[in-house]
Amino acid sequence: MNKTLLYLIYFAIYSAILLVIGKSSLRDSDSVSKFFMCDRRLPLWRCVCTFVGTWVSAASILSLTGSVYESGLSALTFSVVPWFLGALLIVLISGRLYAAGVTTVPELFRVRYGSRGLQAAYGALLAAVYVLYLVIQIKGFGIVASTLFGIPYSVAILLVYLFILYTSFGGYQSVTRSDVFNLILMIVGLGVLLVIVVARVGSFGGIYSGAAEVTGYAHTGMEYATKAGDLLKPFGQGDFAPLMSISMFFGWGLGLAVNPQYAVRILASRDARSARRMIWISLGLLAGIYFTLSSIGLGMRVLIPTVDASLSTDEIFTYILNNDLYSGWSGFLLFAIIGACVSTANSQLLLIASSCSCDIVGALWPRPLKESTLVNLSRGAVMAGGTLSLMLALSPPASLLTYGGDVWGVFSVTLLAPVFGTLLWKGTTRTGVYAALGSGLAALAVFYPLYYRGALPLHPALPGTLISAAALWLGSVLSRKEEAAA
Amino acid sequence: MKRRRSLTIENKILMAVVGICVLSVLCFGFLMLREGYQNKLTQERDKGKELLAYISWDIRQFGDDVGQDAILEGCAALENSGLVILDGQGARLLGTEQGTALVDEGSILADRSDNHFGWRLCYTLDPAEFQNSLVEEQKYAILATIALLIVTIQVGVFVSYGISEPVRRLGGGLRRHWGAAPGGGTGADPHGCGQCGDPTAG
Repeated sequence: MNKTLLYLIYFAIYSAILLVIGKSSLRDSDSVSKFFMCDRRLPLWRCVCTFVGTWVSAASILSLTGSVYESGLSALTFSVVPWFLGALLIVLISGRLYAAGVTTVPELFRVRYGSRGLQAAYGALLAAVYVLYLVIQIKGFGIVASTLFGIPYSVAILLVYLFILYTSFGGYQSVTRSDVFNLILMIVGLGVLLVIVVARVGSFGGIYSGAAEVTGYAHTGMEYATKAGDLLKPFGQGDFAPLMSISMFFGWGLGLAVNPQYAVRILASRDARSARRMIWISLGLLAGIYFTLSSIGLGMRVLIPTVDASLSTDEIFTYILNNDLYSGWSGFLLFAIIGACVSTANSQLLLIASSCSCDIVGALWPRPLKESTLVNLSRGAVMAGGTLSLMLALSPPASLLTYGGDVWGVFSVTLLAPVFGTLLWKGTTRTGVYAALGSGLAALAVFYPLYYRGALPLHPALPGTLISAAALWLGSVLSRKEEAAA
Repeated sequence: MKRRRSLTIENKILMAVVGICVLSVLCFGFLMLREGYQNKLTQERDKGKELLAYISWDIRQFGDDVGQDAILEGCAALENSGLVILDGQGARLLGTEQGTALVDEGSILADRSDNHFGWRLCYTLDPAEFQNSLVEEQKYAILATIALLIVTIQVGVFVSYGISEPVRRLGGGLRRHWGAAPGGGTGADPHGCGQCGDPTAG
């Protein structure tokens, strides 16, 4: 069958399934608690699916696999290792976070310190960061859709509207249901692809033994050549150099530890025990997914040591899938990637919505708003946030993996110390949190430009996070007596 | 126990709205594709007719001077896979085996035999190749049709939900009211069907 026609059929089927999911979830989202947390009634398996579905995004599938293809396992040291270390820190706060009983992370500051200003400020920060991060999912979607249909990237990204807005309008119920579907699609897709790669290489061990012998340039646009054994080393060149990789823990790792997209999943669990179990089971599943992805990336390099095209890191995976490894399954696999983009994007749109409606408007509006008004405001925020990200995605970042680490770094610098301090240290005060936020933003303004100019040999989240933590401690110590008296 | 009817007001509205819109979009998409198909077919046919007329003219003007072989060589130089030339007995003089098979199947866009060599000039159409190139040319139209269908259904879902939600809430209010009234247990649902006070139940 014609390749384009086959892809169009996949597109129609995928769309039909998401339509059904969205329709069936709309009725379950008429209050704030239902819209953002499903009334904390989700079973464990769905919590796990939405946790994993949200975690595995375009950065994981396209950028990580592309980076493994280009630079080998050093890409894991740069990203996956920090992610897992960050996830272990989530376990540390999950019980206390759940007990706080809030709907959003910024609400934690209002509950603890009675500060609407802090809630609104963090709401605005979260909305801005998620608008920036959503660009990753839209770019990933655009790359795949443009490969699938042979249309320009700028046209392809418009198609993302068809899925992410609709599934987000149905709230958390709709997001988690679509996450289940997308995760199944992704696991089946990656499993099939691994089997295809192993079959072509000859054996599973052949992937790793073959990777040790690969030499030369990964593609014509690559800046440095691979030497024998490079692909299996823990550190590499460029972004994957030792200092940058280790300091990336402060961007990717700590950013993930305090990331509201996981905090919300903890808050939406049935109880604290379920929340902890959700994290552990998800990490087990994710370990399997990353093992599969890295094996696929290496296997592709063994099979095709050099791609005869000038590609960006994020385009390698889809290019090989659609050309050198093309089979009847390719369409299915490409839609599995689209599913990964959609499942992360709709979760993040929901966070933009909660930040705008509950944290900014809800905190600053002089009187309490009706539940239905907040839900409608949230849907408006979904629309606005999606559109803004879409516009930003027209000129996307070069590498999703490094860009994602930079965006998550904003969370490390501004949110890590305040959230962990609030949950784990009784001495934290409102002034301390304000100090952490202010100094964190100042650190971002100073260190990020230096980093992008190449003047900083480590990730800017490292000094930023340390400064923010110090400011929290100092602010809290200095204001403790005063706030206790008040 | 009676089975609860699943065709709620929401679904009835959805079916009506989506039915009409989807039908319109499908008709629009079908007409667009049909137009594209007809245009492409006409273009191919015109191209074939023009080519055959050109070859016939060559045969008329220069056939006797240069001979059959030179004319066939000239036709082969055109490298047109759709062109098939058969002699008076139906034997293939020019063209691929696949082209001859297409002639036998009747997949001919144009043919003429008005030349004094007694040749039959055929311009064939490979249906699979034609379909592939049609899909490639029309992919924007197909994609736009599918996208329009999705948007239509999504709008239908929201419209039906928006209309039925207040009715559902009203029904919920009525149920609560009857449930709270003295002897409300029987008054709330005299038929025991679970639908009383729920106008959206249809």
